[in-house]
Amino acid sequence: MSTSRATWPRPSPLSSGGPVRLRRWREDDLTALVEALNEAEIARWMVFPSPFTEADGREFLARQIAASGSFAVTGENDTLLGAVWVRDIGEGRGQIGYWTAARARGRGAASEALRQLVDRAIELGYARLQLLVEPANAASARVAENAGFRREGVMRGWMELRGSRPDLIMYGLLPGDVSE
Amino acid sequence: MTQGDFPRPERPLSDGVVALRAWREEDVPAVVRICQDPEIARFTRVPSPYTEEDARGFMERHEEEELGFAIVDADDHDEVIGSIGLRDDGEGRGELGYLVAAQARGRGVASRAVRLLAEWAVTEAGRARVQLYTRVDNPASQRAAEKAGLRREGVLRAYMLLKGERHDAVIFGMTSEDLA
Repeated sequence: MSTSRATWPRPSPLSSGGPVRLRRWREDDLTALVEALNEAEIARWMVFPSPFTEADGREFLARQIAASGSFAVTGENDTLLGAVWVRDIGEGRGQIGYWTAARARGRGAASEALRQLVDRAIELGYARLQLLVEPANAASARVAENAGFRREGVMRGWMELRGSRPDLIMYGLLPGDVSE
Repeated sequence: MTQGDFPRPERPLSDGVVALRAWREEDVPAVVRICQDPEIARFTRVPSPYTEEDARGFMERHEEEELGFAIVDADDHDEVIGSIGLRDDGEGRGELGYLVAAQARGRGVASRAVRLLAEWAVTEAGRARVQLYTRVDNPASQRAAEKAGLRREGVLRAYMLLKGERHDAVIFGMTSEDLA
């Protein structure tokens, strides 16, 4: 039962020492958000405007505050560590996404945040959760695998990202993957 | 006028053996007869039992929500031997669904129809990718997809919801590169 909940590796403690939490986005996340999304690794993998301006940030926050499945990931002192979200794509399926601020990488925060999102999504009744990762984005694939997602295939030319249509790895997670 | 965001093809879709044509009012009894088949009920969303009203609703959706066709013999456009539809999946993707009448199986009807419509979607309707899902325990449909030139890309667990039950789905894709 390597995938059972009890045997999930716990993240090593964050150097900030604080717990990882999911909470709703707030308008006063703007400064930390703009800082996080102007960082190079985010621009490399995500599709946010670059540079990401305060106006972009306000628009982003307005959308996330209105969305039911979108959460800010925070650490000690409510520091912004990243984002996780789940979007209903019909028939009991949820499409998941995440990004992690530079300061929070490599310490298990993203995996922990994703596990918490998975728990909430399963409680909400999703029968399948899925996410797509670019094959070159090994860090993101590790986050998915640490949270219990299983690699299911390579979707060729799935969508346009930054001017081309890369192949994307499909990861799936079913409620049974993470329960006893 | 578009159908499910696809224009009607400007040329007849035929490979000399099968042809795809628009639905006709007089096809209703044939659709009802074809869809009584328990194999179709098992592997598709087709309701069971299947009524004349179901057939009219199906043909209407094929006109309004997707680009749908009756599959017929190339030299006899009257007798319906199956159906195929292409719907827009966003982000430059088209999604195919099809069924073949029991008496017309085993002679490549499905693979020919899939090839005709997939190739049209990629080369003439500007889609970067066409895909289809089959139940994992439907090898006949998987053979048809592969014979049509789509490639097997993975098994998406619990992806399909058919008549209240979830099934693993094999996903097949074709991109413009496959046709280059």
